[in-house]
Amino acid sequence: MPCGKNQTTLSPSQIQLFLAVINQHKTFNDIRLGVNLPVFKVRSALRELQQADYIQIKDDDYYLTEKGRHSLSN
Amino acid sequence: MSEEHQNPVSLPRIGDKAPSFEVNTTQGPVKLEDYKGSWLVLFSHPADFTPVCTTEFVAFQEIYPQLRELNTELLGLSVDSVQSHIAWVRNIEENFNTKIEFPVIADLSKEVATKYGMIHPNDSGTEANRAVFVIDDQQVIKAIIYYPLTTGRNMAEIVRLVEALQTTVDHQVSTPANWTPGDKVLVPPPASQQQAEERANDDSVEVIDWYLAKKQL
Repeated sequence: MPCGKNQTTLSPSQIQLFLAVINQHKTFNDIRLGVNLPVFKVRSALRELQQADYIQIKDDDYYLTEKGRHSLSN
Repeated sequence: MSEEHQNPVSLPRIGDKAPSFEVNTTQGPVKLEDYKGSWLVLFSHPADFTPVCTTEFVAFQEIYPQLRELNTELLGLSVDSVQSHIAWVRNIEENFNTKIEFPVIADLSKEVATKYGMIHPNDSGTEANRAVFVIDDQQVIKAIIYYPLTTGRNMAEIVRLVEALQTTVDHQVSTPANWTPGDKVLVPPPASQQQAEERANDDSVEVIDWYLAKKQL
């Protein structure tokens, strides 16, 4: 068991990529095309980003949270 | 007598819904459901930093682009930790100039290995053997292969198997021995005497006998 635990397993560049694409696109398919990653990876990453409070889901669409917007602008 | 001998595990079989899982991998947490819509080759290996497994990982990575073109993902598994997997795939990249791009499950609890019957106590009581599960886009098990610890798998056969299974699904045909894409496929045998009589005179297929006929896709 490691000594500490990261909030997500996504790398900083992966987080920035997803947040930038979600800032432009709301639907799963558009996000998948935007990040150009396998479907399983997109589903897994979106789940992690939601659990870490970077994004939220409303009516099957994805939106940045305040934390997500703040992370994207930094 | 070991516990496994007293209480045999019920193994998933061809045609069964693939047992669900939620696991940590070298690419983060994944669920089986994340793979819905694509085919999946789920394979186990005995241990990181072992010779046969290392040659297999290089070989699995070599076929990964081919599998991706077949809408098929690769997912490895052993009962090692994520940190061990990370160290090993970095070691493979250093020694073989091969970057492992598919995720590898860290099944320390053996939960997935047990669910999928990947541990064969008379081969190794502690490690997963070399199992391959081909799971379709509806998450149904379409094929299972088991190899012992000592024998590395044939990657061309794994690709061929996926191609054959997808051909069967797409065209409702069977594939003969040693079939490869482009070869003729087998049409279903007649189910009645009348079908058999008509099949014998069917010019659209190559009839070897009433029960054995081939056609080109």
